[in-house]
Amino acid sequence: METSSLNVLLVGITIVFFALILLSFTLYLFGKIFGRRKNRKNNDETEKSSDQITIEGVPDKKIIGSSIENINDAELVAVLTSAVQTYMGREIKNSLKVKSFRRVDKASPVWNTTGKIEQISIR
Amino acid sequence: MSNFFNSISNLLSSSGFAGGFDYWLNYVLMLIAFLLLYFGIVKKCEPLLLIPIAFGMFLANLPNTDLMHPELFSGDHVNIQQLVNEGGLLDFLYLGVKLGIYPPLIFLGIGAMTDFGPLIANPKSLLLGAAAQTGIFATFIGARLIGYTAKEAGAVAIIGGADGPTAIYTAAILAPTLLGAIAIAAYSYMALVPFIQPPIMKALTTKKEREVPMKQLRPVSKLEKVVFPVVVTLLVVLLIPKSAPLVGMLMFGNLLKESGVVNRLTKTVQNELMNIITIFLGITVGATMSAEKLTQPGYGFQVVGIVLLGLVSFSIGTAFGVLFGKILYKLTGGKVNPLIGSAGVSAVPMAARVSQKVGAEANPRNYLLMHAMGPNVAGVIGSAIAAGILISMLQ
Repeated sequence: METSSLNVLLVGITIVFFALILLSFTLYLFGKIFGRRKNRKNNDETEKSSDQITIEGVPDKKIIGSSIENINDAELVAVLTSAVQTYMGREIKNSLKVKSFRRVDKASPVWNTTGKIEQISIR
Repeated sequence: MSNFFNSISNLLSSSGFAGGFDYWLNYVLMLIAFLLLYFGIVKKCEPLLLIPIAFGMFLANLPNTDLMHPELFSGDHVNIQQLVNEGGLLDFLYLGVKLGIYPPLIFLGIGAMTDFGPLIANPKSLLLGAAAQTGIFATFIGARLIGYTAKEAGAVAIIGGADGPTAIYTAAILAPTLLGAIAIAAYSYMALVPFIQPPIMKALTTKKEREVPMKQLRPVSKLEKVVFPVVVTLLVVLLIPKSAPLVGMLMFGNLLKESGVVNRLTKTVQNELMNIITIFLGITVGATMSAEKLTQPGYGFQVVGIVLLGLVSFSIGTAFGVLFGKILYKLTGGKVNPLIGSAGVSAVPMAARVSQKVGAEANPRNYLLMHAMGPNVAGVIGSAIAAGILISMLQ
């Protein structure tokens, strides 16, 4: 009896570890393959965008960049204004004007933020 | 007029009041059912399952109901003709347990609700999921030594996987007579994770180890998430074909979710299907806990053994997960917090939350939740594989 039980123990642990190590290795390869694909894709995209600049014949890359930024800025100002208005209530409806904004770097990674929210919700 | 009185007297004589309870154990089991209802409703311990299980137990112990006939399922084969002629409502619903239909369907829903991203981002998590399954096999030996048959020992040991559907699936195949007790023990221990695990985790780790913050996980692309369920199914099912119902359904559910093109199906398996199966599974599993069975010689001893061995199995699983976490801590030069190892027993997401909580106690700036989700979902795959191995070797 004990031999067969020991057999189940050893075979069981060996196969569980083998299966999960195999999966772990496959996932590791996943990371390598998909990471490389992503890098290549990013490189292609950068090349394409620089090609576009030369095709369009715009010599200064910064000009395109700033014009796109300006369009985004207008949208961003609208979004920020409405967000602040919603947050502060109706009473200051017409007196609010966003004059400037500054991007603040994220203080903590997204997973940490998720963790914090989780922590708060279970307390 | 006499007809009226005769009818009334016939009705009364066939009522539960006249017949009374067949066994004193009916009262005990009904009290246990009420206790479980209390835990489910007031203490909110796994209420989604504990309430149907407790009510099923309550119904099965009421006299003269003919709802459930455990004797119809006592042999290896179910006599369908006899079942059709004599079966009650719960007998028919129980077929889903007996034939191993409900647990894989629950896995389908779990797969559709699980994000394997943290596991894909950190493949080392799988090793922690494997280490935590050690409790299952160690308890198998313990159960054999105290007199359980090999099949019963396998069914009892799987409680250590802390995965209700897996425990029910394995018990229904290996030891159907112990199914009710095993299911209740498995779900009770899953609900008790926040009490059972922390002392073990703290005893096996130093404060310095518990304080270790972990690096942010890499982002996982959609393509990886879509390929993952297909690759896991291919590898695991080729290796352990008996794990196909559980692993196959788990991964199918996950593919539905990650494909992003079948939202209707995903929502159905996450909600309606999962809820319906949970009701059927809970009420029928509870109904298997009838007094008739408990009065069989030696059954009471077996039930006590299940409760104790389940706890042992679960504790060993937690301990091995943490110890393997410590090995990874050493091997990676202190980059892995060993606390995430305890999440390798399934119990999603409770075990991961416990890792987070104990980690935050040691270092309030420590956020381990997503890191612990990796071993946690690896534990689901690991316990399904362990179940497949036990069924292959013992059936």
